[in-house]
Amino acid sequence: MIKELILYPDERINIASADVRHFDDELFTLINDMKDTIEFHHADGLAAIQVAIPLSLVVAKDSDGEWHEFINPRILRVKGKATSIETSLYLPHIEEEIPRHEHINFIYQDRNGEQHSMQAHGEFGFMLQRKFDYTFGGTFANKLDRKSKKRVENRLSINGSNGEFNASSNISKREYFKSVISKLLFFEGIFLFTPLFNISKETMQSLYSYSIFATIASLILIVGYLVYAKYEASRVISCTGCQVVSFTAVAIKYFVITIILFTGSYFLLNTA
Amino acid sequence: MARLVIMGGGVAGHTAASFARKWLGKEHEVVVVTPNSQWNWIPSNIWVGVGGMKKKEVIFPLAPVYKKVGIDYRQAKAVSINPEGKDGSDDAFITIEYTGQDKEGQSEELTYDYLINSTGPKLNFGATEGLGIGTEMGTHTVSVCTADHAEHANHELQACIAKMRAGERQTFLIGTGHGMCTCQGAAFEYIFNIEHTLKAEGVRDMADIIFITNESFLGDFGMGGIHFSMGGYATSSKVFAESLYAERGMDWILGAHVNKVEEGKVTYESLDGEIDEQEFDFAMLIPPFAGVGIKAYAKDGSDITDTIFAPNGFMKVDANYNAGAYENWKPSDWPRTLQNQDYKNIFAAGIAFAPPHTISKPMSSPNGTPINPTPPRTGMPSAMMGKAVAGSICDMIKGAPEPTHTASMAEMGAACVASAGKGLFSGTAAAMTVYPIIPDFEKYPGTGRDLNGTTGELGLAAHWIKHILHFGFLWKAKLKPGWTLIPE
Repeated sequence: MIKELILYPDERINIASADVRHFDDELFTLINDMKDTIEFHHADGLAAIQVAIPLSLVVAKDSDGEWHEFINPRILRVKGKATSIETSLYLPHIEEEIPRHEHINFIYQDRNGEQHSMQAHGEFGFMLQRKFDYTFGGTFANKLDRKSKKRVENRLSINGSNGEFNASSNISKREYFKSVISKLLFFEGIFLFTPLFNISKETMQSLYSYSIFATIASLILIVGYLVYAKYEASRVISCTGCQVVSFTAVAIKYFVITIILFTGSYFLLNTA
Repeated sequence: MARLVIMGGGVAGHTAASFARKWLGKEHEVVVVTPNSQWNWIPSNIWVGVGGMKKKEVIFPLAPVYKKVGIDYRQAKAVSINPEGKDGSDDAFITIEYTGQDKEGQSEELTYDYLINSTGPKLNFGATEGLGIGTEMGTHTVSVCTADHAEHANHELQACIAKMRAGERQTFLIGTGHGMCTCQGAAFEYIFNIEHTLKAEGVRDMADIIFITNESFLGDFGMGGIHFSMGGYATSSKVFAESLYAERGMDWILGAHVNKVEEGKVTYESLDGEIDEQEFDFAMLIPPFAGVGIKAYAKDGSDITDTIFAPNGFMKVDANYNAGAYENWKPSDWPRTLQNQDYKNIFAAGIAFAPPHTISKPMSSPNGTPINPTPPRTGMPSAMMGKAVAGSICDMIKGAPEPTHTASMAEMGAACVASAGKGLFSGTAAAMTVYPIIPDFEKYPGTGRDLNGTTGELGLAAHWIKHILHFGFLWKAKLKPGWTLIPE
């Protein structure tokens, strides 16, 4: 059965795949489906995550047309640096130069769970490196620098796939507090420059009213941030010490900025 | 009146003792038996190992702290446990052998009502030929497992730096000294500090730096990898670690079981069965851990060590030791109360408890040599365990029939702060958290981890976290005012 591919900007591609633990019919069916999907797309290989299954499994076809099934692959040794020009079904119409290794030694399990080792080089080796990377989360875009990533994003959006290599779902909700505070304070900061221009007293006074509002709102949000961050830290028993340290530092930073901006507004904008 | 005896005064034991003393009335006794006179904040040993900190900054004497809060402190090592007492007495006791307090070498029987085993690991250098003999480190390599080892490591490092200044190229090999090691995080952090130090000393171009590990991929950390969001981008610890190494021009050797260490050379077996060699001028190889080797005897004097301890010397607790093959592993295999099931007044915390199995995928070479990281049980999880066990025992002393507190690694997250450089503005660090430590494939299909509970922070901010942790935890360990407010 041909499986549906996940395409950019579907963030599931970033999920690090779990090791295959059950070598059963379900796995064999998945392998067959992946072969069908590869044939259908005239591709040379697929990682299971490309068909939305987070398992460490790669199915590939070598230049002789022979099928290979690599379960839980691990590259142990690499030799030589090379650059390969690569495409990916996940990133339609994108071609990029990616740094790879000329030669790899790796181990993997077969469909019976037996461990084997193998060597690969050249194009087949590059393809396997790309596919094995998928099983640990992420595409070849991870190997690009920030600028090239942006360029690829832009090209994809021209082609109609809007998005970014961003896993926003992974970001804590407390970031929203920070984002709102930053925006409130940003405008307050901008307004501090208005006395440089010829602006009526009434306008200045209403800008000052905004400053008062922004200051009060920021202070409330900082408290909200602290309370929420504390709640979030207690939700999972993790290194609470590290988390308390980091969010307290953030709260202090915003508090200091709020106070400085308000002091500025009080002296520069308050005409009453 | 009840007496709680705690064997070992590391992170788990010290935390358990501090809380038990706080929660129990003065009519009860809390006794700590530890062979060390100093307490060591182990994570900061890394800095000692590159000369960024002095040994005295990471240790402090235990006696005054325990005297202040009223904990009975015996500088001694525990030798054996008699959980049923002996002929003529039903009182359970342990036998201790003093290592200080002017009673060196003297033995004593110490009765207990409740016992916590938090002895930590035996540094099993002897497991690898040439790495050392028994618990004694050999002369070919260095370690950062204790403050003394770290000081010695720095001494050797400075010698290498001097040689590089004189124009001699040096190879640094950092990693694990056996196929069944844990604590890859420490080696990971140390290699970055070495690199940072060499750069600061202006000799980086004279050094080849190589990481050797029993992990099957870079960034496994004995937890099967971590996956987190960093700077807005989702990153797996493998991608992250590989880019950090590549950026700094450091190489890595994966899936390696070091089986022989000689002067300037290690021999290792890889997961694919190949035997290879690696030369070095400076090597920091972490030894495998084992239990400290406490014996146990029944009332009639027969040896019951096998009943209480697993073959590797770690204490059996309420874990499922018959989980079978990898595909059957469940989070519920992991202990919750850390209570020994044969003797309900004995608990284990920290590294001292026997894990049911590894966390990472078990692997072995075609020759049958097991090569995979064993589960990390350090820092925060140890402190949580110590606190939970102390809580249960305090309640049981007050009449509770069963343990009331749990600390399962399947319900706990771990944080790993790897920092390079010690300066306030010159350092960098990566902070990662992962939840839960034990993947739960039923609750979180796929990776077994809650991605909302994993975060990563890179850069100066994370570096500061490490600094704050250093001072915060030392403050807490010294039981200075407000220590209970500092979280684990």
